[in-house]
Amino acid sequence: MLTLNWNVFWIVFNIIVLYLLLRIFLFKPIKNIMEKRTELIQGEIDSAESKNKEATELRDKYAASLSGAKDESARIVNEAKDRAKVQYDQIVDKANGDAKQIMQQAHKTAELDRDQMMRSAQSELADVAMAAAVKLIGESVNDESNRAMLEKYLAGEGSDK
Amino acid sequence: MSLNEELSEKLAYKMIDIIPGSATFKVPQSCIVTWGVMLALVLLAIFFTRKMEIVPKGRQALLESFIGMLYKVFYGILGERGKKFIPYLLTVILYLGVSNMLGLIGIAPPTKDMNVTAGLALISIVLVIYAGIQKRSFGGWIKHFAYPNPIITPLNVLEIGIKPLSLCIRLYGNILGAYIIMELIIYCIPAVVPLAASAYFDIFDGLLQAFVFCFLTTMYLNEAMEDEDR
Repeated sequence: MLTLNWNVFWIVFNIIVLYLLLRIFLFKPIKNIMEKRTELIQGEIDSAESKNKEATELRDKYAASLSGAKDESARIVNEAKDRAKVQYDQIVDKANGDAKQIMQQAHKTAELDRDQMMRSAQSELADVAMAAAVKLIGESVNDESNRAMLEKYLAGEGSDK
Repeated sequence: MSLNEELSEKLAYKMIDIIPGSATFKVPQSCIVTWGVMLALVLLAIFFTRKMEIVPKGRQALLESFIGMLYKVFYGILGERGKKFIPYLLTVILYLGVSNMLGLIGIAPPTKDMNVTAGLALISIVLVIYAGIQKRSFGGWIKHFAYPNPIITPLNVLEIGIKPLSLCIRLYGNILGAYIIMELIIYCIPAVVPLAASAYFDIFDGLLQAFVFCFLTTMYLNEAMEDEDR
């Protein structure tokens, strides 16, 4: 019943064998699967983190480009305004110049017309005067010399005025 | 046959021929039972670890939570520095847990053979000494006998013998006692009562002793690796 002998080493041997067997068939598979699980979870966390970072970067980039677009559009509008103003000024200046020119032309034409009218009126007056003179004198004064004299007189009268 | 004769017959140390008929190579009965337990454990391990998946399901979840629970108990005591001893402790607790419950199916537990418990205690003390030497180197380990006070050096030296002796005798005594009581109960009242008694002696006491053996081994290991300036 109470026996202690060299058979002790059977159990030592058996336990060592059992330990080695369980290492291969039990502890190793469990350890492997747990490591794999840890790896998987770590990988998921890492990828989530990197995705998060990427999203933040993208957001920042988009925000920056959006504000850039705003600036750009403002710049374009301003430029267009400036250009329009320059063009407006040019057109108004040109119109003013044209109008002035046209007015000057009109003035000149009017003066010329008046002069011409004056001249024709003078010559007609001379004719009338000569006709009156012929009537008075009774003879023809339709000489070139007389007519010239009359016209000269009338012209002198006209210039005196 | 009288009770006395029957008990003597059951408790006798039996050697069994490995090859029936030839009496040249004998092993103790406990060794044959141990081989059976080993085979069962390895087959169970293979069954439970077949087709392991990353997401545990069914038997794999069962196995992982069971081994994980035991692992946590030992890891809680030993911590990171004693992690390498945990597979051995798990092996022993599985072996003892199954062995101590063999009375349930009418097989004499191998742990009622003192050679078995002595062998286990021997491995335990070797591991404890190994842990101590690894922690403090050989000189440090020798010096450690005089810790915390040189006066108790003899006690510390004695502990090398006392620790495995107590481990061995505790387990052996409990299982042998339970075995004898169960035999007596079965002899006196063969029906119903042995069932209730078996629940206590085979299941409760068996598992408790398996746990106590490993727990104490763990405590000794932890003690051996403890920092002195704590």
